[in-house]
Formats: sequence, C-alpha cells, structure tokens
Amino acid sequence: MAKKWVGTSIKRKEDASMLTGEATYVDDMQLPGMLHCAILRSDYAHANIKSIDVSEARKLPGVIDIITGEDVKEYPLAAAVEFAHFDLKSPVKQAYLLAVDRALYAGQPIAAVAAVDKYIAEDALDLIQVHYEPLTPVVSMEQALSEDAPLIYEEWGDNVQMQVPSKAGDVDAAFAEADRVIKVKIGEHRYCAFPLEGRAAIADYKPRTGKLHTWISSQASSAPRANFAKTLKIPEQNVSVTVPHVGGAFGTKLNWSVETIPCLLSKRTGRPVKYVENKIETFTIGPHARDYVFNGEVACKNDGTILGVKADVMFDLGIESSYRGTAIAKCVILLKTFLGQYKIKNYSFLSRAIVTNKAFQCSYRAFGKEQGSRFIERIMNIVARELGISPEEIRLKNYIQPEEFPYRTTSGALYDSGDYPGTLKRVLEMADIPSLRKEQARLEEEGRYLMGIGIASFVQPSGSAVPDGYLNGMEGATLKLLPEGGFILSTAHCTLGQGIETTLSQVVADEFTVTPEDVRVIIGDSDKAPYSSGGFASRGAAWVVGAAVTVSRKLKEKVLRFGAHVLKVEADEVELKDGKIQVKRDPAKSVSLHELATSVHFWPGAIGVLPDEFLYTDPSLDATAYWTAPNPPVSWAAPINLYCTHPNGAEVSTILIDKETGKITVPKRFVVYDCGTLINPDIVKHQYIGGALQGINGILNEELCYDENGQLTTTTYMDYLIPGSHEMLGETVFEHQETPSPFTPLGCKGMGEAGTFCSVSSVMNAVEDALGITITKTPLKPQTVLDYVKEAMEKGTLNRRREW
Amino acid sequence: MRPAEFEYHESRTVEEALSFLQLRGDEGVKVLAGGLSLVPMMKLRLAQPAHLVDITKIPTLSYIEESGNGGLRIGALTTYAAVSGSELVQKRCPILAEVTGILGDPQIRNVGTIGGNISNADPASDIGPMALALDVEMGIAGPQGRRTVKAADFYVDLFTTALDAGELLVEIVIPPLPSQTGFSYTKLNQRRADMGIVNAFSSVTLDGDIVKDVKVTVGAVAATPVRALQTEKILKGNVLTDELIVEAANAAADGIKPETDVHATAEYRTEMVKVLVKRTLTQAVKRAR
Repeated sequence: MAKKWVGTSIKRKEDASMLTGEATYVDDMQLPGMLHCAILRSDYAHANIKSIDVSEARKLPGVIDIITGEDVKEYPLAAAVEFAHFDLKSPVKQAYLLAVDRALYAGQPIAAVAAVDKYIAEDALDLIQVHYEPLTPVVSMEQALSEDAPLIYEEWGDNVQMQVPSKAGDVDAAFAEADRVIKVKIGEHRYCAFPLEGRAAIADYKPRTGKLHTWISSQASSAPRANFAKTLKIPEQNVSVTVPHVGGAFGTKLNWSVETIPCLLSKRTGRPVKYVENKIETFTIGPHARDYVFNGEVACKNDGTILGVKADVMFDLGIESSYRGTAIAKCVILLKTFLGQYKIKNYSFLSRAIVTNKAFQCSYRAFGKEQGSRFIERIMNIVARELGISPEEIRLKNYIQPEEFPYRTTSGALYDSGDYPGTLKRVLEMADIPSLRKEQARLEEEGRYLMGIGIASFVQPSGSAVPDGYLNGMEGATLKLLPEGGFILSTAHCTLGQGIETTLSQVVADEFTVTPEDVRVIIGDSDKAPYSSGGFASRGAAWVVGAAVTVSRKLKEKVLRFGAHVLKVEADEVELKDGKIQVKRDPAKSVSLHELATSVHFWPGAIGVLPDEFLYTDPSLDATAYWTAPNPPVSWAAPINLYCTHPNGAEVSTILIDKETGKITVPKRFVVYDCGTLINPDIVKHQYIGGALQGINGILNEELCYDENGQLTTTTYMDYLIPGSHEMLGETVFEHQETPSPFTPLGCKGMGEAGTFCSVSSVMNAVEDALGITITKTPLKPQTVLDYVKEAMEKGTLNRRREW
Repeated sequence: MRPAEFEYHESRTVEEALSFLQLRGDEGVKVLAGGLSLVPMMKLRLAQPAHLVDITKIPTLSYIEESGNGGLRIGALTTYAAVSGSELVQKRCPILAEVTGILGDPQIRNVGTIGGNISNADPASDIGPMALALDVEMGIAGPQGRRTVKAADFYVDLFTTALDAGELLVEIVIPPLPSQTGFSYTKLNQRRADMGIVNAFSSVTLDGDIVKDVKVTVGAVAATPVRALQTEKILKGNVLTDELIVEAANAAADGIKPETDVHATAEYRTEMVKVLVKRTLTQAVKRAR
C-alpha cells in the first residue's frame, strides 16, 4: 500500500480549537444544579485524628453535604496494581478516599464539602474543627529504614512496601574477573509534572436510575470506570467516564482516588458535583515522582568492557503507591529496563519501595524507565572518566550491534530493531565534537563560563503491557464508514496533547486512500469505544495505531468485497485507489467509497446491494478490532518483556556554567532519534523537544521540598519552578532515523516519553564534563552547582576531560 | 484558593478612590491595580481585605511626561510595557526602559503597573533598587492632599511603605539623570521571568578615570532594597581599577543578613551580592565611558 499521509508532517487537527479557546475542559462545563466540592487537607504529616467537628460548617448557608473519614469506611479504594508475584504489601485498611482515623501525609484529604458555589465550599473548610494528635513523621528513606523508625503501617513490621531482588548471569565471577570495580551513587530529587490543568472532575449521579456519569481530566477512560464502580459499589455498566480536553497530564492523571470524592458526594446528594483542584492541592495531594537513589558498583575491564553491575535502588514512594497511584510498578519496570543499549550479562539488583509520610507517587513521563536509563548512561561516563577513555568509546564497546536484533536482554526485554552505533556516530558528526572542544577551551580561557559537552544515548522501552493492574495491554477501536463517505474512528484512548487525533486520521486515511480530513477520531469516552488501557507508556504509536490499522484492514476487506460485488467481479480483482474501489485491470470500472456507502445505507439500501453472505450476517460498514503486541508479557516468573517497541536515540548537549554564580544554561543540543516508521515527523520532533525541556528543567529547577516536619515547602509556582516559554532550550539540531519495528503493523514505535530520557543524562554528563567530578546532588540549582565548581577547582579537575 | 468575601469598589477618579479608601473593615482595605501580587495573596487567603478599591479605571493615573527640569513623571497605573516601550523613557531614562523591559514576561509587563510594584514593596522587586539609586520620588495623594516621599524613606519594611492608611500612590517622579553616568541592573534567577534570588543596581558617574559619584543598591537580601554605602565610599573620589571594583563589590556584602529560603541559602545570597555588584559596577563604568 502506498503511504501518502503516514510520514507527512501535516498540521495538527487539535490545535485550532485549543489555541482559540473553543476546546472544552472539565472546568468549562456547567451542569444544572451543580454543586462544588472543596477538600480539607491534613495539617500534619502524621497524626491521629481524634475528632472532626463539622457542625459549624454544616450551618453555613449553601453547604449541602460534608463527608469525613467516618463516611468513607464502607468504600475502601480499589487497588491500581496488585503484584502477588512480588509479595506486595497492600495497605487495604488505610487506603480510603479520605483519611480514616490517622493522617499519613501533610495535604492528605481529611474531609470534603459540597456547596452551592466554590467560595462557600472553601469558606466551610475554615469552619471544620479537626482535633489532631501529632505523631512522629517519617520524612526520609534513611529514617524510614532506621531501627527506631515509626511504622506507617504497623502490620507490615517495616516501612518497605515491596522489595524485589533480581539477578542474572554470574555476578560474583564478573566482579572477580574485573580489572576495576567502580562505585557509583546516582539519584534524583523529588519532582513531578505539574500540568497547567490540575485534577478536575464532575460527577453526576442519578439516584432514580443509579447511573453515574463522570467527566474527568484523565489519561484513561476505561480503567477509571472500573475503579469508580468498584470503590463506590455501583455496577460498572452504570458508570460512564468521559474525558474532554486534557490540559496536560504527563503520567500524573492515572490515579482517580481524589476524583472519587466528588463521585461519592454526588451519590449522596443526588446532584452533580464539580471538583477542580487548586494549585496548592496539585502540589500537596500528589502524585509526586522521581526521588530515588542507586548505590551501585560496576565491574569493568580496562578497555571499557562492562562485565557486571550491582546496585541497591531505593524509591521514596510516599505513603504507598499501589492504591492511590501506580508507582510501585516502577520498582519492577526499572529492573527490566536498566540495561539500556548494552550487552551486560551479569547483574544483581535489589529494588526497594520505601514508604514515608509524603504524598503518594504515580507515573511521570517514563515511569522508571528513564531512571534505569540515567543510571546506565551516567555509569558509562563515570566509568569512562575513571578509565581515561572517551564516553563514545565506552558506549561503542558495549553496544548491542545492528545485526543482533531482535535482541533478548539478560533481564528479559526483547528489543525490536535499531542501529545504536550508527545513531551515536551520526549525532557526534552533527555536533562536530572537535570544534566544540575548541570552543570549550576558548571559553575556559576567557574565564566567565565553563562549558560542558555531554554525550548520552538511550533505548526507550515503549508501548507497555504490565500484568496485574491498570497498566495492562488492551487496545481496541471501532471504525465506521458513514453513508456520506466519511469515517469515524472511535477509541477510548485519551489524548493529552500528543496529536493522536491527527496521527490516527493519517493512518486510517492511508489505509482507505482518502485524506485525514475524511476521518474523524472520537477519543476518550468509555461508552463510545472498545476497551482501551489508556494514554501512557508511549503506547499510542504501538497499541492505538496497531488497533487503528487492524480495524481499518478488517473494514477494508469487507468494503472491498462489497465493492467487488457491486462491480460484479471477484474480491481479489479490485483495489482501493483515491477513495475508490476499482477493478485492477480496468480502473475505469469503479465505485467510490461514498457511492458504496450511500448505496448500502440508502439507495437502494443493504438489501439491494449486499451479497447474501453479508446481508444475513454482517451488513454493516462498521468494524471493531483489537491489537495485541506479538511479544506479550506472559508471566512475571519467566523472563518478561514489558514493552513491545524500543526506540533509540543519542544526544550531545552543550552547557555553560557561570563560574561565579553556578547558573547553568543549555545553549545547544544535538539529537538523533529513531522511533521506527514516522507517522508525522514534526509531531515526533516537537514532542521530543518538549519532553527534553521538561526533563532538563526538572533536573535544573524543579524540586518538591519537605521540611523536617514533613511539610511541603514548595506549594506555589513561585517556589516550584516549572519551565516557562523563556526556558525553551536553546537551539536543538534534530534528526530522525527510521528503523521500522518488526513488531507493529506499520513499524512505528511509541515515542511520547522519549524527551525525558536522554536529555537529563546528556545534560548531567555535560556538567560532569565541564567540572571533571561526579555529580550526586540534584537539582542543579545555581547554589548547588557553585559548590561543585568550587570542589572541582580545589581538586583541579577542570581540565580532566583533555586526558583523552 | 478562592478569595474570601470582599466588597468591590470601582473608582473613576483619584478623589473617588480616596473616599473608598476611608472605608474600614476588620481586614481593612486594599487597592487593586495590576493585581499580580494582590490577587494571588487573596486566593491563598493570606490577604482577606473587606474592601477592594479598583483604581484600574482611573484614566488620569496612566501617563508618562517630562517634568520641567528634564526628569520624568509617570502615573502610578502605567504598565511596565508602556514604560519600557515609551520613546520618552528610552531617551530620558534608558535604564528604566531596560529594567521594565526585562521584568517578568510579556503577560506580566502588559498587566503589572509601576505604582503597584512600588507600593507592594516586595523585597525582591526589580524596581526597588533602581528607585533607591535614582532617588525617585513618590507622589502620594491622601485625605490631607498631596505629598512626596523619596524612595529612601518610602520603603519602610517587608511589604511595608510610608503610605499611610487612606493614601494612594499616584505618581513616580524620576529626577533628571546626571551626565557622564552609566547605569546597570542585573539579577540572578533560575528562570528568566522570575524575580531575583539577589539583584543589584549601580550608577557610576565618572570624571575621567575618577569616580565622581556612585550609587549601589541591592535587593532581595533584606526587608527593603538597601544602599551599599561602604561600596560607594570605597569608590567615590578614587581612580577606577579592576581591583578597586572587586574590593568595593566585596564590601557590599558587609553587614547584609539575607534570609534562607527554598531557592538559596543566606550564605549563597551574601556571596552573590559581591558577584552581582561587581558585574553591575563593571557594566555601569563601561556605559559611563
């Protein structure tokens, strides 16, 4: 089939409505009689709730309902992930919509008010009297693991929600054989995505019919339907979830415990209830992300060959992360993905999920995969520096080679395709490293700035199917050819700004030789389409496109047979061209899709047109189909492949450090990225660049800071520095490569998370290149960097990079 | 983050605004200009004024004109964008155009007002150090009539000014700038639109290689913008050398006791005062020549 639209950078269909304000977000919606919900949050990080007095608040005119822990005891949260295989400890008794008897973090929802307007709802919060008995909070992983640490969940006996050991090969032998064993400590601070639109929900429960319709800002529509139904004890067939436009998500909108609060209020009051979280809630309620540390050792030969890796990884997941969020899955995902592009045969890992009195975690753009990637990419540079070889040489020495695909890694991942050495060599060529080195020397001479050149590369596991929970793989679509010749593709997948309505219509347009304008994509409604796992883990280009292609081909087969029947030839004698079914040997004999669809529906109608074998079985011009990856995860016990596609890429980042202030700027970056067959190259490029901005700003400017009492001190956008338009990186020189995946119908690989992988590694490697020392503390705020500059000057390491 | 209940008063003239300012509730009365600082404070319920006096519809508060002696008079309600884009300001007081042109981002500059900035008296304000160094005068209207207060007396404490209850800042008076003088402002921030972790302003008047006059001010390191008097003393009347600039800049940190917050520690701020003062002095000298 000739590709016309796939591979073309058409403009995004979504943009006009978003840019002009026509797009509808949850907060834009008003329902008749709608109430507004406000949430009272815990003042303490850890405290017994002795009593809650809502009597004064109830007296406030306009207050319709108030719920507290007492009212939610019959609604324990449904689990998001259940890892029986890994001995996951579940906090069933403590996971409710609102704190029951004990507050576990500062900001935890304690009570909720439904009132006739949002001002009264908030006024009522001031009138609720909570009597707390403060308890000692656990505010760090070290404290959580100490002997005398308070236990957040008494029955566990410790503060570890899950620990997963993982081994491959013969690590002891690898370490015994090594020329060098190099210790590394690599971690990141706590930060997350904070999209401009925070959590937003409208719940409309109809007491007579028992139906609950919700409109939520979410990354999935099917999973929350099950979640609301289970938690609120409403039959799932009576629950509908509609996801209108979403103002950013980045992984943070895959948890629905807070959204269940307005649902319960609606169920109790029989009126629609809207909850739109305020920005303080965005920060304090959570989810959060990152906040992990690797303590590792690398066994290597003097020539740079990596023989083995050992590491102890700890994640600070806050109060728990299998009910309120899904982050517990990171601890396992990391183990399956950290090997990156390298042939490392021996490793021993211990991955531990630690609980503390902080907000829960969920996913955030790359969900553990980026952590593994940063670990291995930082290791490569640190080891190279220790051995006195270049960062490119150590990579080229350890890469999986192009002829080895599909490649099964020691951890079980199955890599589809790529040319890792080719990608790296190309980006080095684009960056012209020798001239960058000259510029570096010139600037150093000049004195004000230290320049760093950071090299990193990555494989990006994408399109996940993680067993035992909401992150599973299930993706279907329905396609309809309408009487007037247009198409509607329906999927319950959700769009968070990736441009999937555009790309899906490009895909369907090519299958039917029509234009993207002929295809409308309906997205984000649990009632209007087959089951979809949702928009996460860069699933779109693999799973959703897979479903769109499969359903297109299913419908196309039918359409061709109908067309052949009309043209009075056999089905194998016709083909689709320019929106027409034509006889191959006599193209003048044709029927357009429009003509065919009209004749089936109206003139003369199906009875007059269709062959009997269809008329009495399937006279429709509709089809529904599912797509499942051909390399699915089978069992946690066996080597398991969680991601069906594996894009790869390489970057060179240049950074400047102001020597006197420590402020870092990122003037120029070079990127080569390969996500297989490109549907819309510009969408890929711009999503990559946006992701890189998010990644780099996260490592430079963003931090969720808790004080010693477990209070979050960064609760506004003045303290928590998300990137603005000024922070758009300097120049990015970007080049696509296209190595199709053998595992997806069009060869596409999911790419949405790509930008946050390598951007952080290459920038951190660049800082280390500038300074010649290993960076362990993040974020790289000016003050932190200035301390490193002083350390490097004291140690005399600034020129170290010139050794090779 | 929904404001508590308040009564809203729209005024069309200064007199009308002043009459509204006489109102007294439990939590007093606040003036709404650009609203960039006040509205978030109200949403956080850190400010809960019983009365809000909107002055944005007073047409006579937004202007830029020459004063008789070669200085400028700027209406308190004039936006940053109007100030930075004004040819008159660019000609008479280019440093003011520069500072109001880099402050925040375009949306902030289109909404924020110079008078709002000065009356809010945020210690990290971009305008404060310049107002202090240029000896700007604040024109104040009140029930007793008009009075003027110099910047040095206007900034009293954290978010506190010499404005008495019932008074309104109506005009900013920039005195004529001395000749042979260079000005420089810089701030250190993580994102370009943010206020500074530290900021600094220098004005240097040269007579050949001799520093005839000098004003150095720093912001975000104390409750109000502060003069670096010791720095000025070291430089004034002396022949300029790079070493002298460094010595003078280092002296700017003497006696400064900044706060520690999520962005930086007091120690770092103190150290950055030296760096930024050195940089502004160096640039001001270059511009003076």
